[in-house]
Amino acid sequence: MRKSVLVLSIGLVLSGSGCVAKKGPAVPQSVLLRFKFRPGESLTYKTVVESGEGEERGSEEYKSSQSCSSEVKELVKSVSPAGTANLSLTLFAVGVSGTKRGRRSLDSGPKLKEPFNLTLSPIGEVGGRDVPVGMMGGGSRLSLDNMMATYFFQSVPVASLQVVTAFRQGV
Amino acid sequence: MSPGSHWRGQVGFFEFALDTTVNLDKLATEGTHTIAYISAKSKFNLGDALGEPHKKPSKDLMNGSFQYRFDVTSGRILSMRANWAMAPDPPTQGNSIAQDFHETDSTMTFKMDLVGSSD
Repeated sequence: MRKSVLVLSIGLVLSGSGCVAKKGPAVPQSVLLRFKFRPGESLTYKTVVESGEGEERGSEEYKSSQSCSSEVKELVKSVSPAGTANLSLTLFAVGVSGTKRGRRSLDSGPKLKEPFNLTLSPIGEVGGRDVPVGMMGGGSRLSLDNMMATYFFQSVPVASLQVVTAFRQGV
Repeated sequence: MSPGSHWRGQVGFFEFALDTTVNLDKLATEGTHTIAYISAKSKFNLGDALGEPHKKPSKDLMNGSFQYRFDVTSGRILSMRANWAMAPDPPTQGNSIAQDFHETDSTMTFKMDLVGSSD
């Protein structure tokens, strides 16, 4: 008898504590992927970029690595009637470090970059890039500017193409 | 667009050609928002896709895989993960200085997360 009460009690506790599945909001079967911008809003993204490469010289192999973490603040300055936003992007570099052939080659503290502007359509088309000249630093040396430029020029076109490829389908 | 759908896009810039395939993996409801889980694969190649036959086409110079979480309700990216891998560079032939040198591997990872908003 005591066992039966115990089993019944456990059953009641379990059923009352949510073990019986509750129906949540229905998941849509189909959606339209679109960026939605509101004038004056700001979004902050944290990015971490890590890269590594190996080199072989004769019988010796060397490893190099770079790491850069930063925050990007997007400010929506205006939005056109078609929904295209004029964005101001500011990069706050939190840190960059790296090793070249096993040796530590660079560390950088927080650094604020001047903002640059671009436009972004609801389907992710990027236009009007206005990248500060300081970010275009060339050469092979490991520097914050090069890291940022690498991040910007490698990630934005690719991400943009992917977003546009997906988002355009709903047009 | 429905889960299971996929699309392909190509673009050329400078001497590179980029081929990308995007998939809408699933839709989920989180709180009051609808979240789209999107994955993509991209390939960088040289030359041929741009109609430049004098250039030797490369074979998947770089391969990238990406995952996005997109908030459909508020219309913004919540997170992105990307991994790029460059194909190993074979030892250079016919150059006495360079023939003993080559890159064995090259990788790059991106992580991007929405960490703050004004709303």
